[in-house]
Amino acid sequence: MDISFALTGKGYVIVAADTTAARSIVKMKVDEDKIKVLSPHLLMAYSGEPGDTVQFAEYIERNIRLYHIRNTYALRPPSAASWIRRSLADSLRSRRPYAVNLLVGGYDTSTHTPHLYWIDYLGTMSEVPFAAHGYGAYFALSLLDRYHDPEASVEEGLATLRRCLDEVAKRLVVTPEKYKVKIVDKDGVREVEI
Amino acid sequence: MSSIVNNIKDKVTGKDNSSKQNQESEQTFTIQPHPAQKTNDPRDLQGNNFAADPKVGAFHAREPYIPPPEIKNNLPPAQCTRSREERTRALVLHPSTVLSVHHFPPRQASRYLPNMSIMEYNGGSVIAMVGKECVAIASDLRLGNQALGISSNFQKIFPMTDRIYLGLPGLATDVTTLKETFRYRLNMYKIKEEREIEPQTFAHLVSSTLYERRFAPWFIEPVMAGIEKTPSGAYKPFIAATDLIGCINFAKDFVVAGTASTKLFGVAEGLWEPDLEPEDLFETCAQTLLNAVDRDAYSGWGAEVYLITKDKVIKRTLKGRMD
Repeated sequence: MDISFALTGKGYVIVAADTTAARSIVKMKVDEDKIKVLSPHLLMAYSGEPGDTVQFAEYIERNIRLYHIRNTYALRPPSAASWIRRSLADSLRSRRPYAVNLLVGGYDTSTHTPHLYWIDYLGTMSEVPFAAHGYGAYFALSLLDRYHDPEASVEEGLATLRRCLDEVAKRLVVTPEKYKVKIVDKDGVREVEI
Repeated sequence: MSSIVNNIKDKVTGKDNSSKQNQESEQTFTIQPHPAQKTNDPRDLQGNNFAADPKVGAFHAREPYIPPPEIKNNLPPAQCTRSREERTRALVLHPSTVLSVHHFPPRQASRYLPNMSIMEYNGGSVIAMVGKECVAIASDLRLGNQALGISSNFQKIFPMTDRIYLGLPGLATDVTTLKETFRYRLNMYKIKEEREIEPQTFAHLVSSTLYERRFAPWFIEPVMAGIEKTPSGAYKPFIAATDLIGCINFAKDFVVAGTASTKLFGVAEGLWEPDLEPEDLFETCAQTLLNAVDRDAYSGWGAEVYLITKDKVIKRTLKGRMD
């Protein structure tokens, strides 16, 4: 089961996703990157039905990139999230819908604000201060209710994320061993070790 | 007067009118009874007479029919055209008559969403109320994934024009999709008509937008509130709601929808009264919503109320219980 978390802070969004690619009860791969960098200031963590996930994420990645090439400027996070949501919502009422859940985090370089969107496979979208998908959500959301601070520095934000990962490691039966963590802020996207 | 004229006329013409008598007594008409009945008395049509008749009494009984003892005690034993043995033999001799028992598989709701109502997947409720030259529309702010709360800031009420507001409780993906659809359709309306849409017309736009998807519906039960301007220049409050395929309910008092709709009906029925002034209407609407959603696990987590009067709209965000 894939788990992904994301939280906003003062001028940044942290996105974390586990790195296991599993099929049934078997781990096939333990270093899979499930966070796509869509544009210089936009991240997307994806999870869900294997196959659909990569297919859909690449479709989104290429189209956001195409927009960037055509218009010189990349889509800002709210617009990008709306377009991604609409792609999923249209897919839901097609013959074979994509079963993909997303966390879209970005930094708006025009308003200097971080944005985080929780999107599920139905096309439900909500802008949130913190979010999670998968079984991790049941542990992390209540923890983040207590510890999340929208004014926290990156170090504090990472410490809060650490709490989430530890809580999942402590309480969830099947614990992922590794997470990939990416941060987006005014300087763009970077990966951090945790 | 006419009889005098007739008399003179008779004398002048010298004609002896034999129908004179008939003309003087006025003609009357009566309603004739139906050929099958003797009178027009409604009591005779109720079958009381039949009920007394032991032969047909059972067919005209107005209360449980108890047959008289002479009938009850002399009933012949239950009969079948063929005896039990005969029927058994027929089944054995002709295997084709043995029915194969077909088991229907249990109906699957959906591969992804087993055993649940899609209308209650995300939760959320909306209510609209009429006041004196004002209307109020209110919603909760929860977005959930079944029992798991995702957001406490998910708006379900959207401005359509300056004085029409639309609430969209139901499946959250369709809330966003329909909000965008209506924004598009109203922009097109405004460009074509060069004016804002009227509430009545808007209700029918909502209805037809939903009915367009009759057999694969949007899982939304819209509630709308607005103020319409009558030809005389007065302002008339307007509320309406539709079901998920667009059947409109033009209510005069209040309309509710969403996961807490049953509770909203109960509280609104108790608190609402006609011709409330704007501030009283706000209080009634806010209290109705807050108290109803406290009894619903899928609604709540804060609320917002729009109070629409002829010259302004007031939006208030309310704190609610966070459990």
